[in-house]
Amino acid sequence: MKLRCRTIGRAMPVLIVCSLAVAATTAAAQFSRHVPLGLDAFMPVPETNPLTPAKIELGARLFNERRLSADSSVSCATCHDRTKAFTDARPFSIGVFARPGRRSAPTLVNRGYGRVFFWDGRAATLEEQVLGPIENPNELGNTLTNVLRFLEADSTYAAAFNNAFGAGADAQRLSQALASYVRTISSGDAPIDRFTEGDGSAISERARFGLTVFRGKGRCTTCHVGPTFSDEGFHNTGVAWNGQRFVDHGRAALTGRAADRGAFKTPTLREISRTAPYMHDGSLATLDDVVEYYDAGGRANPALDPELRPLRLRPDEKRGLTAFLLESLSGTIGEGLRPAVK
Amino acid sequence: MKRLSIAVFLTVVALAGGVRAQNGYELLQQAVSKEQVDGNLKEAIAIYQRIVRDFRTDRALVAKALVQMGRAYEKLGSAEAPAVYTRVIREFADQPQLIAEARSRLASLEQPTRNATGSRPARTGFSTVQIWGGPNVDAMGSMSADGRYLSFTDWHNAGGDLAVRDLTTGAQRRLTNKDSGGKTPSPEFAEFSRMSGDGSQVAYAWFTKEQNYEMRVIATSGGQPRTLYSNPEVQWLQPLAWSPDGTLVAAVFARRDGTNQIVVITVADGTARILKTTDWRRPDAIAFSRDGRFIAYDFPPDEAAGQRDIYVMAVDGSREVDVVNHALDDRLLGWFPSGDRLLFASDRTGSTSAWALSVREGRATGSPELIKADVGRIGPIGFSDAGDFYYISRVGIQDVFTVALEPSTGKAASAPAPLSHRSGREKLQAVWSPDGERLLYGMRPTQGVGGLPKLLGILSLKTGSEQILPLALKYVQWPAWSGDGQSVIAQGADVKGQGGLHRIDLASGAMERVTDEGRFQPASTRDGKTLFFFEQPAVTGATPRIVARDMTTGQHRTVCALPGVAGFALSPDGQSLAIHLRSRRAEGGATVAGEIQLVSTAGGEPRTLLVTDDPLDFCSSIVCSNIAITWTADGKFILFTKGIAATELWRVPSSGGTAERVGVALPLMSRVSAHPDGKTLAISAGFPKFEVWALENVPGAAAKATRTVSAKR
Repeated sequence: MKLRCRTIGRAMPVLIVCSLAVAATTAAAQFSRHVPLGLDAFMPVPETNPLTPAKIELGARLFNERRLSADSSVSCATCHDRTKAFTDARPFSIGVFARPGRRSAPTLVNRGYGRVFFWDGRAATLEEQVLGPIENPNELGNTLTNVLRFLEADSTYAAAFNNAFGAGADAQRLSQALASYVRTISSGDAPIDRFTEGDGSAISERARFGLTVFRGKGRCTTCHVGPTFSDEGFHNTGVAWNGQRFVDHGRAALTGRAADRGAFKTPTLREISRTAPYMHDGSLATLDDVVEYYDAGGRANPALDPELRPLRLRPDEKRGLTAFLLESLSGTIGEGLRPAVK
Repeated sequence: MKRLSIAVFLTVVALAGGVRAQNGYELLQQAVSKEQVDGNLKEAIAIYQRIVRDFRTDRALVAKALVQMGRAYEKLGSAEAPAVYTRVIREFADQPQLIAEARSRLASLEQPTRNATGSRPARTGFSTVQIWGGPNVDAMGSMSADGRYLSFTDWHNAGGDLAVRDLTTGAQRRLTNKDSGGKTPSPEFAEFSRMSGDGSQVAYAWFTKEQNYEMRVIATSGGQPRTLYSNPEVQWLQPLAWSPDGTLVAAVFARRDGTNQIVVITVADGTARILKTTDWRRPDAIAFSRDGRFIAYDFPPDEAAGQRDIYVMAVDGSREVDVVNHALDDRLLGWFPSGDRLLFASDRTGSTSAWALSVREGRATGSPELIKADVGRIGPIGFSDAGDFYYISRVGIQDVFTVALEPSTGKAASAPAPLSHRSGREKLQAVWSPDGERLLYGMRPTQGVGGLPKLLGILSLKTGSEQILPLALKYVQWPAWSGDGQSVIAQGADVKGQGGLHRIDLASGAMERVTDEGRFQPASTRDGKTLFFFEQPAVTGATPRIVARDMTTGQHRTVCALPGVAGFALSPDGQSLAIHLRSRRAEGGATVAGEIQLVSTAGGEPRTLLVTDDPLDFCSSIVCSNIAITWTADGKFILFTKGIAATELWRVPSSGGTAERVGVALPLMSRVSAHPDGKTLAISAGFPKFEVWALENVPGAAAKATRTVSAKR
């Protein structure tokens, strides 16, 4: 297998064109990945799963397939709705048989740049992550055996798998197709991207003031940094502490470390104006609530991140910060093989 | 014990507890300091000879002294050097590292050194040769592919202008001409210059009058520079490599959120394409493949550790491969002009050596091959097409010196004595503890070509022992004591790059960030209730100020905000600040080049103590950033430095009066601290010195085809 790539265009955003020579049985594949302004040209894609249009198209179809769930009621897209910036606007998602999930569905934009997956980081790769919800009893509630049996029996899926992989469905190919699609879900070309590329008029004066608070007194860039506005790290901000105990142990459920109790992965702030409610449990309804929460230094608890402390923001600083978050971080969402949309 | 006799300290420092072997190491440090800081080679050789004569039972010490002696002889151009190295090889079989070093030096002596006036000697095989030495060598330049020209920043003759040196003739030519219209030197300077493959252009970072960095390009034939990339959202940038066809420059951007990015900039239109955002870490070196399709760079995979690996990324961003993945430190040196191998430095065998790794289509093929052992931690300049690898070797050191004061006059009563140590690290920015029993300083390895201190050390005057504080900081500067001496406050950045003042508890090692970034030079009152610091607002053009922080409430209060404030010193009684101001326009239009003012810590109008209209008076560093300033222990005088590079210590009565010399002269004094008993000064001084060397005829490195400007990738 040989991967050949070239870049089209000199100005940002760029198109990265990859042509893939695979087994002779597979249709000739070429995919132009659109890199919106503000995102890195390099996205870590496993060499074992290069992006191809056939896989992306198959992944998109699987992403929207309700028949992957135990009662054919929900798909990945149910909780990651592209019209809601790939969230579902609920504190907790509703899965099969109307079962509520444990945590809020995070947006999937730019997850191709992620280093760990799920709120608690229990998946190391996107390929590993995408299979999780299928067997989660509160989400799709199915078994991989059932899902694969369905995909093998459906002639259109059988053809699509064969087109994408030169072979039928199995768990690895299912995960690779879904992960390929998720890697195409992007958000960029937002006002903040134009501003940081030197267009001083791209955000309002109030948002510019908010940006200085974001980077300075508000200490937001302690965690929300880089093109995805996330350090991909885990932090206890006190949301999971009810005053007496942790109602969700977060990262510590995997690591067993006391310091990780109540710690969750830093979410992206891209598209934040469209992804309410906020925090891993959807407990804060508005960005004003979020700003107030952090201004108070989070919620004191035995494992509170040492970076959390009362900010003592003035009212105008809070308003500026909220304005920056609302006005600056929503841009163009791209997904699959479709053209990017505002 | 509140007070410790300085005699005890001097005993500790000078006699090192009376142990003879330690005495020898003390002497070795003195000799190195004589050689590298003072440049007094003959005196240094005399001390090395004394060590060889008096400490012959300590074979490691004697062998080290002999190697150092050989180096000093080399610098003098003396014929003694080969004999000294031969003696090490013959008599010290139990010192393999020093034998290797002696062999390496001997081998290089057997090759004729390129000089500034002669032509290139005949190429006689793989060898090392010194290309350029002396005070004008800069560590941030690069080589043309024909090996003839070296771009560099001329700090000494041109105050930071970009220049090119012809290595065959020694001729130097200034390329930029920073604005020198005013009486005070312009703050502009060039950094990190990179020559295009055909030698026709130089890309460089330019620090502007507005105190921003931008990337510029200038023809080596002269003319006006062109701004290639300028963006106030990019806080700092560093061009690192030209593509072989001269169409792209690979660079690193430091963004205002603290992250770094690997970018490629199109030379034709200045368009920047972000290849990868590298959070708080960044590459030190980038090199293009010969076909221009890939870049190699080094990067620390673990954010808490400094060890680097080497990666190769497609220039279109389509893939990245970790080609050198080793638990120890691997640093990129360059891409062979032949195109099929990478050169890198690694300490995988215990000492830093140069290795080569075959790379094809952006992937490693085979295992690394040792090219040259024991090269030290060198900084890459680049390859010539002929297969010579050029690098920077750091030879200068910074150290802390103690000077005894005559009690009756307050003038120097002794020559500066370097603070000896056995930790193998440079010491800088030293300050006495409130009780005078300990000395706190920053430290960094003596090897390597740059970088800020990353460790703090505390020397106990009682025991002579040195405590090294473990820090979760990327760098640390301006260490200061808390009022009670139980903790240390220093400016630095954590592993995420979050800058600010940090407090480190000496008993527990716990660290907390006291302030956000943009705050420098902390100074605590004796009661520990107030912390003063210098604040440089993030907004360009905003007035810097000195702030008092109430350590109980966390409230900040501006003591004074003055244009040109560059530093300050807190009086021993905590009642006054001595402020150093850079140039300003005085009433009537006259230019004041530098000034010292006094202001009450309670606030109010400052009182001018000293004014100079000589722009070089208060330029202790080349860019006139700040001077060393402090109070005498009794608060009767302000001590300050004057001069550029070669600095002198002066004093002026705090009540007003005439300034006078104290009697101390050292290269670039950067900090002065008065012992609480008033009898001794600790002075941080010295600056890095560099040499340009070449590994000639690196096996298999020579280009297979002649480079052409229009070569297609």
